[in-house]
Amino acid sequence: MGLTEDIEREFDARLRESSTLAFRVAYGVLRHRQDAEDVAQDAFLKAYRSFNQLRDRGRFRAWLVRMTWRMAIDRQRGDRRRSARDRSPEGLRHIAQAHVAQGFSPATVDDLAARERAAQLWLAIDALPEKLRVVIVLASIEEHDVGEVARLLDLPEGTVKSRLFLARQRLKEQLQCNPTTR
Amino acid sequence: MQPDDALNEAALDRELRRALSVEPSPEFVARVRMRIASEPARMPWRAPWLFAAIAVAAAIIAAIVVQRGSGGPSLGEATPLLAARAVTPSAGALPAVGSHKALPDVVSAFRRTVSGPAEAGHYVRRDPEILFDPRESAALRALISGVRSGRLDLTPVLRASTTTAMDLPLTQDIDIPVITIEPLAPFGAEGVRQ
Repeated sequence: MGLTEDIEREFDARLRESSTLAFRVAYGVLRHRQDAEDVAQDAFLKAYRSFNQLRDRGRFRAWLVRMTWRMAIDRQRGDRRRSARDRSPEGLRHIAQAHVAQGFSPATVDDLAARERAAQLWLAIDALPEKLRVVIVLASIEEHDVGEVARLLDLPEGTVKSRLFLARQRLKEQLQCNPTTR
Repeated sequence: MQPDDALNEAALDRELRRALSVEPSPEFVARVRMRIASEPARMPWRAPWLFAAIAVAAAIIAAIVVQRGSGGPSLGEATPLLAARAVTPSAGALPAVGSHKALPDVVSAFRRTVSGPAEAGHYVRRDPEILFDPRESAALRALISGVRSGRLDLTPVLRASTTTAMDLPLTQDIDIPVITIEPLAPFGAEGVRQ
């Protein structure tokens, strides 16, 4: 059927152009590849079911980002303990030690400092209130500017700008407490 | 903003971008496509039309069922045919009917309830059933048809059977004799045991 095929093709185009965005949004909350893929997949399935209301490209992206964020937050709350263990510096150290034991190259072990920096950064991001967190994560994905973040979150640009400023301030304060991040 | 701050900010942005520059697995999109394909055959963008069509069809079916239920036979009641006929409570107005004017109503009510055995099965009722002797119904039918055709004149019967308050015999006064209570005579010495 012509109409159905058109719509299928349209949805497929949206899927291709937004799959990384959805995955990164989910990863920004969960920091777990498999969980992030699962959440992004669920979000796409929901988008498919409501595609008749989301055929506009801009509307689709905004809806997808918000839905993925919400679903990832829900998943994180449901699986808090495991997420906390995987994200902690101790957890990362343990993973790195396991890599060494399995015969990984010394270069991988040298990468530990960068991993620890990332772990500290994630801890600082997690400490942010949700409103600031979503803004800083979206601004760091695909080099979104303030206008794009505002469109995705359906917020005024001024609000996004001030939240972004606040988020950066707080992150800097948090990271300055830990010299490994400088 | 101080140059040091700007440097820090740039470093922070760089760190953030690096932390979030993760790629989904190459088969991610394929998995999403498979998941969507495995959805039960549905056309989401047509759902509103589909729902409307289903609702209209359901309404039509319901209307047909209701129409048939009120006029047609009910399966549960079609089998047992009683020898006696059922009379609706509306037929209970029969004794109160004294005039010829109200007779057609009574007859029509009677026809509704006391028709042939086949029609008795068609009559769907919810009230408790009142059994009616077939001989009695035949007699009543004959009486009504007689009255309607003028073969029977009920006036003398009605006149003879009804007694008005004026016809009742007058009651006589009842004489009640005056009751007098005699004082008790002294009974020997009081307090003496006998």
